[in-house]
Amino acid sequence: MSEIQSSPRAIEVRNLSQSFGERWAVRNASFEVDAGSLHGFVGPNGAGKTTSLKIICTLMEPQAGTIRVFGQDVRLYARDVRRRIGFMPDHFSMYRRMSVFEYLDFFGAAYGLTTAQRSRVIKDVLALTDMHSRQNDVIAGLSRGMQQRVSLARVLVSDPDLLLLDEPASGLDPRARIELMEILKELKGMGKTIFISSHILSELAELCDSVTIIDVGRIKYSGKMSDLLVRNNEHPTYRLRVGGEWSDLETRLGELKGVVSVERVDDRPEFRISIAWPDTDTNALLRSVLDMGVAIVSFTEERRHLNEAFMDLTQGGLD
Amino acid sequence: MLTGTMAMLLRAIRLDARLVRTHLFRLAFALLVYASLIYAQIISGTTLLGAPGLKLFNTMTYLNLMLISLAGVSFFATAITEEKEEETLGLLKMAGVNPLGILLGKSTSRLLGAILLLLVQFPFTLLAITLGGVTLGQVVAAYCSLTAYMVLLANVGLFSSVVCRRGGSASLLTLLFLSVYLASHVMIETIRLGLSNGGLIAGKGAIAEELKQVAKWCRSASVLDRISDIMLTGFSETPLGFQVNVSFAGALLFFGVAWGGFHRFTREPRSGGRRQIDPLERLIRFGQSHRSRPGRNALAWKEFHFAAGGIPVQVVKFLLYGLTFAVVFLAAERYFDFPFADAGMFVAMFMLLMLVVESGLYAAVIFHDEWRGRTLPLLAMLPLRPSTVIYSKIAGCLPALLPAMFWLLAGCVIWPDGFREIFQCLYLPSRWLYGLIWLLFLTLTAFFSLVVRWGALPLAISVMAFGASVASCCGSPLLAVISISNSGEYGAELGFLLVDIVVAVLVGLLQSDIRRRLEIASSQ
Repeated sequence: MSEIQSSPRAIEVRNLSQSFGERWAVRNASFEVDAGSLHGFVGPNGAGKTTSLKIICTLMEPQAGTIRVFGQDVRLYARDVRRRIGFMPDHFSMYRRMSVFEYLDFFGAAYGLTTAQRSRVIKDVLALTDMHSRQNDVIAGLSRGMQQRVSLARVLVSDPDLLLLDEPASGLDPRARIELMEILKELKGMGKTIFISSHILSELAELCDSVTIIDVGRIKYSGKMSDLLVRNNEHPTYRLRVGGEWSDLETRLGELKGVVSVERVDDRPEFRISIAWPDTDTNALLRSVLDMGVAIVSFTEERRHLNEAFMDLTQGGLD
Repeated sequence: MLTGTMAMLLRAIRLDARLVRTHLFRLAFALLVYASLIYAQIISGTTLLGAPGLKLFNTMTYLNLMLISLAGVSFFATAITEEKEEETLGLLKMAGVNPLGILLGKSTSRLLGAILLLLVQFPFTLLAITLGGVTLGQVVAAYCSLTAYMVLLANVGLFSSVVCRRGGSASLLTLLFLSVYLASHVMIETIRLGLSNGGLIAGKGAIAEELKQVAKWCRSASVLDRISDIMLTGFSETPLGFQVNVSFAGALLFFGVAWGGFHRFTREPRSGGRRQIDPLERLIRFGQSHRSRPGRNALAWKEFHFAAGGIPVQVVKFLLYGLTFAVVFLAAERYFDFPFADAGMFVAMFMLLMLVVESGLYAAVIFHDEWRGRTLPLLAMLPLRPSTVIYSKIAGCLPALLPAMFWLLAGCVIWPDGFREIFQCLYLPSRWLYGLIWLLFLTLTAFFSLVVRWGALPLAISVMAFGASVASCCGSPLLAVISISNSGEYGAELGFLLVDIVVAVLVGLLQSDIRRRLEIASSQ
């Protein structure tokens, strides 16, 4: 049991396949999510995100493949897995006639918490989701953003180690989205593993440590977000901005060790430098530039936007 | 104007005509009539049963009457509430469909579909004439009477669905109307008799005579009495009798009121304004402030407070049943020459009926509400066995039956045979059958609540009624053989034991299918 508890992987998916009739929702998918990380799960509509999520959270049995949550097979230990996860579906499914407090109290009791434990936990989750002042309101009367917070609070009542959130930001206004993302950051700080499926790529890029991109049921990428956002995996590109005018700087930069190509950006004193990876030490490169007597204004890694990576990896349609 | 009004009606009719299942359903109905016809012919050939045509026609007519009544409280009463609950009524209004168009499109198309079901039987029912005992005039008059009743009920249902916010309330309102319509003359007569027996009015005075006239008028307008008149040998009245005219006039009146009040009753609340709340919902809200916190069985707590209404609803039920109890005994003692023990039996039977009705209502909603509200995944994610979830929900509804059970026992205390009847339920397999049939009915209702969008309860009642007639046809000879071959006091009980086992197996199979369906629904 202690081995299971200390598993470094929150989720391990191996060769997962699931079909509905003749259509494959997920095909031979494999990916991992590290414990304590915030992992994005991205894909176009109908890519197989929700199906994968439902299998991971034990709502659906996989037709083929192995899925482990904290080392436990979801097929064999479904009830144990459920104790450690909290799932928030993509639709607003709530008991709308209950008050916020009753709703959380009900789920707390269903998870076997005592009245005293529930009182304490509900107070905490209401404070975290900033819903304390609305605890006696009937859910049906709350706005969409508020209901989403209550939904998140419900997931947190059982104090799960892993949160599975399916499109938590869909349909929310910008303010509610930002507030939700702040809560997620806070949860990550508390050591929770968060697996989030979303379409809002800009926010995911900022928030997530790692990402899995799925398209027509196949995994197109799974790994660190930083690796995905590097413009070119073979030759990372940096943007160097210098002070003053240098007529032959482009040529001189190109001659430095490890530099693959140099390109001037318009007519500005700014250069895009691609380097050989992983042999080139960027510190050494910067030192060489400084040795040339160049005043460096800025030196930043040029990263792709997640949208670009997403568009490159997915075909934007169904097979 | 006319195009807009007819658009929804034509669309609904086209859609209905394109669906294969609609035609299959009509075909199944026709085949049912045809099978009954063959059965009646065989019976008439092998037994001494007279007028088989009339017997068949009688059965078919009353079966239709029951189905129309069930359709009235479910199929017709949800026409507009369905749009209200799914919040699509506003979209229809925004699309420029006027109230008449919405009413015609949502209700009249359903009415036409139901009338087609009657029409499809008509040629087959004519064959009953060849079997003997019934004339063409009787068949035509019966179908006219049924059609008029259906039109009336469809429009009452439409009115209820315009007035009420939820389908359940609309069904309840239609049921209330139906009860008053069918039992009004009995009620008026009872009141007249009670008043004159108690000396409050003169037995042959003006008021008594007026009440007599009203009761007679209500009786003539009732479909039940019209049908029983039609079934009498020698019936030769016009097919368009008083009941038909009153029903069409009533239908027109209800349609007019629904049309006239459409805007008023379907208006969205202004921002900051108050939402239209049903009295039942108001009572439940009152209970909100008095609810205890969930204990160890949270699911049972949820069902008791939210599906069954919690303590305030139980208190109201207890008082209402108590009031019925008091009224029956007071009336029996003061105004009628009615033995006290018989009043006890009446109360016990009434409470038994209420137990069946109440439990049926709970069976229809406990899974259906979760299915429609898409909350099943939340329950499926709890670290509990599916069977624990299912039986906890059922356990939550059981305390809601306590008021009816209390008054049932009270009735049995006064009815000398009451406790003997209850005691027999413990050891006689023939009495176990009642309990098992009740359980089958509840299981079937719960099963249908996961299959159809609405009307699980009426559907379960229809299936039970049809199943009971088929089972009694097939099972009676078998029971007779078993009773004869096992002589003695409890000879027939052995036969009933076999029936009990069959019903219990059926219940078990249905329950396992409910569990499977819940698991599938959770993952969707």
